[in-house]
Amino acid sequence: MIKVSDLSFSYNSVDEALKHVNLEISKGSWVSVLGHNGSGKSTLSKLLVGLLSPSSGEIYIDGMKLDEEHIVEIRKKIGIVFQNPDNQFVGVTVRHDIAFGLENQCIPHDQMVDKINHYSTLVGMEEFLNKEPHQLSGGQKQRVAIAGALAMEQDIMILDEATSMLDPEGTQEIINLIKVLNKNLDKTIITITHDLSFAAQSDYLIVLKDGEVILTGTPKEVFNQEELLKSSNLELPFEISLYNEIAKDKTIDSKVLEALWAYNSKM
Amino acid sequence: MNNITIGQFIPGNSWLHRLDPRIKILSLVVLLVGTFLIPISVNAIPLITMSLIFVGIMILTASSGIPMRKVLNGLRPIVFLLTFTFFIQLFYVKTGTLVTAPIVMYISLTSIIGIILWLLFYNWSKKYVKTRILYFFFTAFMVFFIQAMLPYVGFTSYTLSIYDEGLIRAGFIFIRITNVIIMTSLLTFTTMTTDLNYGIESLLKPLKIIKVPVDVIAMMLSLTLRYIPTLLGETEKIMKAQASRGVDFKESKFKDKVVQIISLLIPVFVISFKRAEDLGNAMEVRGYIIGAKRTRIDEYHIGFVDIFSLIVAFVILGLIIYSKVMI
Amino acid sequence: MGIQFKDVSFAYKGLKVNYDAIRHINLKIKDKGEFIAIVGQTGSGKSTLVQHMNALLLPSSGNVVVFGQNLPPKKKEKINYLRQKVGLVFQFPEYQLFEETILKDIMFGPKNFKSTEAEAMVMAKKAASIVGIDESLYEQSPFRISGGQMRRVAIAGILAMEPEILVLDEPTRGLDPKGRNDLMGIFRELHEKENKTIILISHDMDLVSEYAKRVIVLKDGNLVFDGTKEALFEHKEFDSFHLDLPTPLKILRHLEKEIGIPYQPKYDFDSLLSYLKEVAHE
Repeated sequence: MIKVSDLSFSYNSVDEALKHVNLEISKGSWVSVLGHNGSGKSTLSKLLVGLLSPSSGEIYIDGMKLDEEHIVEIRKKIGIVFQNPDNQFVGVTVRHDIAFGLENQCIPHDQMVDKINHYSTLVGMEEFLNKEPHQLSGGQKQRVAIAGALAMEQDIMILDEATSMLDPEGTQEIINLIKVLNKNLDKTIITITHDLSFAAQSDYLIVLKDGEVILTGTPKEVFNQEELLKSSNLELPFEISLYNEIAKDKTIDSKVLEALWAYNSKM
Repeated sequence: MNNITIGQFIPGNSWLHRLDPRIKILSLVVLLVGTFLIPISVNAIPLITMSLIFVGIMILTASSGIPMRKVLNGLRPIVFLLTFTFFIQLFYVKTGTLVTAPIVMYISLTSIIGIILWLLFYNWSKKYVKTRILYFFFTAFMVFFIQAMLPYVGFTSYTLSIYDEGLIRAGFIFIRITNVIIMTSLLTFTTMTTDLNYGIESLLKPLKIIKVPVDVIAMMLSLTLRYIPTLLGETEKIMKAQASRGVDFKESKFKDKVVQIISLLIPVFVISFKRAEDLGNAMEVRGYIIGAKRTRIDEYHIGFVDIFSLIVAFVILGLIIYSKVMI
Repeated sequence: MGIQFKDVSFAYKGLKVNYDAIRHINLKIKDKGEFIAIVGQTGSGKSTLVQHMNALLLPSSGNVVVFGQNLPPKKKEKINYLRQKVGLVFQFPEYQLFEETILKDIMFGPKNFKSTEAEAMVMAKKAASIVGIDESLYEQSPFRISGGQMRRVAIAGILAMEPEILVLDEPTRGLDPKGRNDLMGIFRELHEKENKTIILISHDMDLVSEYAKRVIVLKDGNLVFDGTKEALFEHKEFDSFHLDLPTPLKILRHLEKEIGIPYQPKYDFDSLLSYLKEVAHE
């Protein structure tokens, strides 16, 4: 679905934010890109949606090359929800904000009304269509942003640290929503985060450090590499560290291990 | 969380609320032009016309469901102007016949003290009065009354002559300003800001011919409206944060105040610039292209009532122009 | 000395109705040695409560006594000085930065409280070193450093005023794990070295469990619990507080439910591990 070849990018001509990154993301999977602040993960997401142009290398989205010629087409395939709930809420009300992307696509009026009703209900904000953004919590605003992205019916959705500015309740709302989207709607979802508890629930992890991919694999595979993760300023969640420690220590009943793994996936 | 609503919109279901915003704005402009075209004079026809307009506006207000008190409160910001204009017209017009014998006004020790005492009393008592506007007029009247009544220990005096034409002209201008303000208030009370925005955008569309970027202006207006409550909230937070660092507007010298204002302004600017950048990215990714064709979620229909209202407005304007030309 | 709340209530004035943010709060906070966490759901009144501690807000009823100063104050009483005694750091404090250089910004607080330029500079440099801002950054613009550094500069700006009590509203919100640990380490050191009273608002129960000695729980504006964390997590009405349990306890409850390991409160990694070794060996 997404293929990145030898991608490099620098903001000025001196420091490279991304260095020769290669990765592939398969259709329908939920991938988490992990990294410390400054590792290049936000740069990567901006490159994937065409807000930045690579210094070198190529990006292919669903077989189409991402460049100026194809950018309009590509924007129909990939959408993004950013970190700051206030700085992406364009509309005067919830309804107007969800409509924004549809208006840009010149969707006819009646279709717009249907989509707005459908997707606002999907994210649980159907009662709030007339509310103004300053009357909403951070979690609610992010749900509206997700509804807006869903309404554009793109195959791929990127969530760039979408829960970083939210409180735990708001974060949990979004996590639950993502699980629903991935399972029920078959969307390809990329979450950018530094929260490993959150990332533990995705299918596949990509770990960035100082602009380079240092680790990829399933959560289980990646969490095994505790030392490597520590060196990238990422902290294993308590329950995962516990799991690793108990796995190493053979004196504890293996049932504990199974129960612990069930705890991780339940989150 | 926040009780701020943008603008003065008061929800309701009157015919005025349901009128198409384009028609409302256009009709308002037509009526404003008409109101200003009526010449200030003491002749019967302009007087009657202006009064009829006032009556018409009162009927409009009643039918809109907006409480009269709210509408009259819209006059508060210009109470000073109204009173000032009224008294200037009253005392400087020297044509026509005298209403009463010339009144002698004394500027004396007692009258000055009287006025000061009265103003102090007004200042203290005004919070207990409901109809502030009327109280203000009354106070202004009292200022003159005191001057007429207290000649003791006089310094100097002057005479005020009130002529009937002065009285009529003063009343005329008073009603004209009132009409204009109330008409405009009715528009903002009965129209949501998004609808106002659409109305303005639509009416400005002809300017596209001379390359004015009407769509972009409308989008900028819409974004500004959307962010006002957010910015207000953020400004308050920054004020509190800086207050926690010792910023105190009450207890500081002027020199310090300058830095303190900067400590409020710069963070607000920084937040706004970051916002502009993020917003630009978000809009671009969602397919917004400046100047490109877009559909619209809000639908507006022009019905019989709209067309009828507009015709009435034009008819009124036409009659005013006719009467001006004929006389 | 310290801070006392006596039957304090505060209501925000709305358009039609007043909104009760906190109700009948009674509370005593010592001016030394406390490490308090204030927890509660969003909207429970935590922010409102702490804004009474440095007189940013004055009670609608009841009174607050801060270092001997009664609030609401009598007319003409100056209360600005309280903001130096009780330093309040808001959420996302990096937004308060505005000066040309980092050092100047940190000096802003002390200067507002009558320190001379020279005194303020000494206090600022001391605060900068506490939060780990290196000398090389002193002349830099506060807008050209990373988000994490900006936050530390903002906190230094409050520390430089040398407050006796430090109040922080979710100081670690938005930080990555390393950032969070580093920052909390700074507060812990301040507390241990100078016996400073530190009051924190947090949603992170793991953080609360690790650092706080005393926990205050707010619910719908009411103070529903004031005591140790152990007493809190064992409280029979804990569920009604709508709080999360810290992770070790969550795991222990889960293990009890799934495989019957008897629940015993353990708060950190090592004690949990040794408990499991003891109770669930092969």
